[in-house]
Amino acid sequence: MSVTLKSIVDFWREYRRYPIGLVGLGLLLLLIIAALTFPIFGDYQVVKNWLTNQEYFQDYPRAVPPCWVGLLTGQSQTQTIIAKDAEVASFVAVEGPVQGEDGYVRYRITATFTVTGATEPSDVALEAYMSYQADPPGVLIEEIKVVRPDGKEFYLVKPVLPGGLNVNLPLETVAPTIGTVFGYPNTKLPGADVPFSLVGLAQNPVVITRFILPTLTQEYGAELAGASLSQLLTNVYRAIFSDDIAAALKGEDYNVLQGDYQVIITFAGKNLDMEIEPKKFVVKGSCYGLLGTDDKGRPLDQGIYYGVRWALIIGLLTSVITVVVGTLYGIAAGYIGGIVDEVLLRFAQVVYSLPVLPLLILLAALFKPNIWMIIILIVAFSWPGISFVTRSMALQIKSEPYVEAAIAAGAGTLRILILYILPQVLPYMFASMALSVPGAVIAEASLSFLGLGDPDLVTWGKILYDAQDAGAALNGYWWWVIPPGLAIALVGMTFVFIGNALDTILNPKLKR
Amino acid sequence: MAQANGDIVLDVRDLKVWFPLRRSISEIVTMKPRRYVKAVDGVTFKVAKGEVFCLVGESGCGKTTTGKAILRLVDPTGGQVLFKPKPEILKELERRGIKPVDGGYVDLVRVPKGKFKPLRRELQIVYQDPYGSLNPRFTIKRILEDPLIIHGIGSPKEREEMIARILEAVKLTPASDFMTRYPHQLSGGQRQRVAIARAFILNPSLVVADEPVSMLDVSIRAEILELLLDFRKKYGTSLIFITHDLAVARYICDRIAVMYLGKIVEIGDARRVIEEPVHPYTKALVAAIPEPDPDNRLRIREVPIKGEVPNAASIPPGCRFHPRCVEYEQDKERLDALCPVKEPPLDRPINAAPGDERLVACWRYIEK
Amino acid sequence: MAELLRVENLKTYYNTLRGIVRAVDGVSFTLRKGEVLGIAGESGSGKSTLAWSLLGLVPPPGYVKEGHIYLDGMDITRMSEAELRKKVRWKKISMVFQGAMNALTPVYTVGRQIEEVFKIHAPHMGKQEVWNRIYELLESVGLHRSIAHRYPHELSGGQKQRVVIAMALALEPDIVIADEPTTALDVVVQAQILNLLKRLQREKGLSIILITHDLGVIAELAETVMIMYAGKMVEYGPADLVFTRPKHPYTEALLKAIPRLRGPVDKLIYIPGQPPDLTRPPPGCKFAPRCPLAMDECHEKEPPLFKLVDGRLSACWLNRNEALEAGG
Ligand SMILES: Nc1ncnc2c1ncn2[C@@H]1O[C@H](COP(=O)(O)OP(=O)(O)O)[C@@H](O)[C@H]1O
Ligand SMILES: Nc1ncnc2c1ncn2[C@@H]1O[C@H](COP(=O)(O)OP(=O)(O)O)[C@@H](O)[C@H]1O
Ligand code: SF4
Ligand SMILES: [Mg+2]
Ligand SMILES: [Mg+2]
Repeated sequence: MSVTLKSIVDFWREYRRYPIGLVGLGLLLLLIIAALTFPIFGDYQVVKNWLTNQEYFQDYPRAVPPCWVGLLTGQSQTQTIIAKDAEVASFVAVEGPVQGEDGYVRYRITATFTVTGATEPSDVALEAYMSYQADPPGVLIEEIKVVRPDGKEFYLVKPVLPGGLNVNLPLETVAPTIGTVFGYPNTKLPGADVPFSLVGLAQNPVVITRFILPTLTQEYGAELAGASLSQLLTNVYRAIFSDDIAAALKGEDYNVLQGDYQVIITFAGKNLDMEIEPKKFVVKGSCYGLLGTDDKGRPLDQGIYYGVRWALIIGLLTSVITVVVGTLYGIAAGYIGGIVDEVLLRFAQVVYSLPVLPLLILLAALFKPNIWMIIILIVAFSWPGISFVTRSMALQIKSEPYVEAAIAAGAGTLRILILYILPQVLPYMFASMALSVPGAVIAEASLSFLGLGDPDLVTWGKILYDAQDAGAALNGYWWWVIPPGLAIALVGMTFVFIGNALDTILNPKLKR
Repeated sequence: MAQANGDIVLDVRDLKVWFPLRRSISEIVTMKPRRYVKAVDGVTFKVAKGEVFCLVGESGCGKTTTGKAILRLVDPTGGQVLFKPKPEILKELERRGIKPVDGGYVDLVRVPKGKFKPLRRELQIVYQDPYGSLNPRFTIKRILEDPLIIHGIGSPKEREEMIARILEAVKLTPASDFMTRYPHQLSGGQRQRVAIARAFILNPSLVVADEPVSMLDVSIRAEILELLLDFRKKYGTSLIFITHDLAVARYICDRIAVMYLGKIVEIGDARRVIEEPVHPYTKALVAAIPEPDPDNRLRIREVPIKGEVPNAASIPPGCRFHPRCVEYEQDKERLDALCPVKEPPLDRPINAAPGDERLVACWRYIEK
Repeated sequence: MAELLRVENLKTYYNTLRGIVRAVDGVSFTLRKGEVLGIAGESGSGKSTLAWSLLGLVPPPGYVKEGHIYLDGMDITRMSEAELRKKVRWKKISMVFQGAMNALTPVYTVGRQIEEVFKIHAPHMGKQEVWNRIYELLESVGLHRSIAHRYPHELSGGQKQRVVIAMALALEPDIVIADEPTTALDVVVQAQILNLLKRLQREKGLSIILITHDLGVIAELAETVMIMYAGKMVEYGPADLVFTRPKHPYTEALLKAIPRLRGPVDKLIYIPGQPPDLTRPPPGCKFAPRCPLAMDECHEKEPPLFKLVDGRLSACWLNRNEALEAGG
């Protein structure tokens, strides 16, 4: 029908005149794009594991702020690196086998990364697929060291005798086996993903007492006098990145040494046949991504990115159902009139006057709802508002002389409803659909916030609930609280803008 | 006008329309009887074929409600509305199981709503407000086509021809130009002509014209009235013409009924009633009409009536006009036993001129 | 008697998308103290716009294009909004707006609404004083003082119209403009309201400008009559003359269109067609297309406002021979 096409064009002309409506439309477009592009740019694994699999997030730094904060505060941060599979190659190199003159075959892993921040990375971790076989048995760790930007080498494992004597003894007598350091089988590994963690090593009492301490005493013996073992135990990791190793070890003030670091691990063994395939390399920095992480290391940017679609689905679905239900109900009441109207109106008033949130909470607690149930619950409590308006519209239109004239001409009820009443109610429906989106989003968020949302769904409300649960506000994890809050507000704003523009256009009384 | 029964198209007998007032909770609890706005409280009159029958009275006296009750646009509380449809419509009604009363009349009050549709072709209405009575979203063509579509009349082409013809009849020419316009693009007078065209496009036997000119400029009223009279002449349509302006009534009505608070207080030949009113209320209405005589400004216009119309929910006892009646006041001693106590019947006035068929409901002028 | 108001060549236009609407196009007249001037004409002829101009209240996109309005010697077309509010509106000249009785706010008592007039135009008055005055006003328009504490929906149409008139009288202006004050009322109530205006005019020596499309109503009150057509004044003169011997075919047609209560029932007369579109008025006499007496030159040349021997003004070529001079 050309009439409708023309009216759409006319409508758009009119709509264009409301800047606020255009802003709303722009925002909506962005939101829709955000919702649709998640499969392309988002990390689906993250949201899949979000609620169920905490281990998945062990590589992420915990409760760190977004990286752009550094730019604002002027404080430099160490970027988090989570490199996987192919990406690993740019950080990790594997050499070997190298046949040494001493009869050992050596393999070496070198991981390179940069520390730019004022705090050290909370961990440097590597995961590699390894398989090996040594004959005669025994895969040895010849050394594990961190080569620092200042050229110093910080040994975590070094072939020394207990007691720190550095003698030229055959390697197998001074170097630890892979089992001692990592707990892997000494002779043969048929193939497994094995992890390596710098923190793990630096806090491993065996490694500290057997290798690190002897080396350190050799170098800083005098300065370390008086430091207790437990102190050293906790401070070794920091010392690795400290510009003043001794001070760091004693727990005194130091600065983080910035620059390129290398972690080098050398395996050795007679007739060693080894396969090393780095799978993952992680530097847990002091900041993460666009929106930081929560206390379980979950990257909030992914959660919020993913949340857009549910916010839109919940908001739009709920508002459409609410408005359709409310409108039909209201028109029925208004048009039929009389006792039917009376009963319908009273019922709507009763529902309207119920305390919505407490009831929602009660019902949600009773039913352990999924998202569809939640949508139905929200609809169940929000249609009366719409129905009051459409009822009075129907009443008013019904009493227009031109409607009565149509009845006088013989028009039946259906004709009146479809040709006379609906076209006038329709614009209002659109406006109120837009205007009831925010309420729905907030209602869902409130439920989730109270822990009553769909347990299988990452929504903004859910994120906020976790934040609240972890005392995020108390701990100053603002990046965990504010962005989801803002996102909810943004969706609300988007639809309020659109709704207001629609309302102004379609409701001539508001027109200026 | 002829009043031979064969010519009568509409015979309204003791028509009542009472609107129930909402009861408050306390009234329901104390079981107080339901109160009513007695908008039409026992109205009886006949309309002959081709006759212009006028209902006059102040606003709120029940003129519109009477008209709408006849058309079943509001539901009557009681009474009979005998209507004589055209033979083909009568046949259609009989097919639907509606038995005519003797002489080809149908009691409109007793026709079930679901079977009323054929009668809609016969009964039409023109509203007072030319702004509200046309759907602002429809073009003129659509407005005029709707009744034809509803009754399944003609092909689209034939319908368009019919619309063009009726637009020409109401002098909206060129018709093709007006068909595509919307109501808001027309002046008040033009809209009212569209409303008249809509009423007559189905060629009804009876049209209720509810103050069709009150909202128009004096200067163009006559043109609209002329249109109505033209249609009546051409098709023999009967008109119930509602107005509060007795001067207009004098020009176009054959017979007239003056209503006050839901009752007819005087009914008869239009010229006679207006020129020699008998009922005190009719006299007041006549006296209130301003005339373009510049000498009027030198005197206060005495309107022989007191106060304002009371609420239709609390109709005074006895003669419902007595609280405002100056003649009762003047003749109080004689009338005190009657006016405030007993309702006067509609009867021939004493001293009626020969040939004057009028009836009045006033104790002062009828045999007690 | 003293001249209160003089309007000279007033032009009030609206700039609309369709073009310039010349709603008032060169109107001049004077009003004496105690005089009742009736302005008649069909809807759209510019009556309300003329009235708004006199209060400096022309709604946008309208504006006074040119001309002068002298009130007590001051030219109010030159006044600022603040001056108008302080010196003119309600103090010297007030208005009963068309449909005002239906524009009363449903949420306040009528007393509060009258009080509002005092708050805006006479802020110095004390509350007690204001309320005494409100009671006095209500009584002067024939209402009981208790009406002050009622809400508009509790009043009948006639009572509401009296309230609106009371509002216009609040600050004892010299001139009251009543724009279609009886149009929505029943004849009986109309007669009562006209009687009230008549009484007020006599008792207070009020000057009234009565605007209506119904010459019958004008005859009830007006001493002088102005007939407007398409933004122009087409006839102006004493009521006695205008009503008995109209000099403009438009006036004559308006008079003939009024249905009478007495006399023969001839065919009703009406004015065919409709007033011109004020954005594109016809070139000659604006009434020519509808005029039964129009001559060729009427369609070409606009007639000036002829001043006739009996002191009347009439803009019709038929009056050329009777004219003293061509007025402007
Ligand atoms: N639908 C309604 N419900 C209740 N009261 C009504 C309704 N329609 C009319 N009335 C009342 O009935 C009376 C008569 O109204 P109406 O027939 O419109 O009078 P008129 O046409 O003579 O002005 C008035 O008092 C009015 O308030
Ligand atoms: N606010 C407005 N904007 C544009 N045109 C207007 C406005 N108000 C009135 N007009 C036009 O000015 C002319 C005179 O209107 P008005 O003064 O209201 O006449 P009257 O009171 O005689 O009916 C009309 O053509 C009308 O359409
Ligand atoms: S019956 Fe009595 S009160 Fe009624 S109109 Fe006649 S005289 Fe007046
Ligand atoms: Mg009515
Ligand atoms: Mg006006």
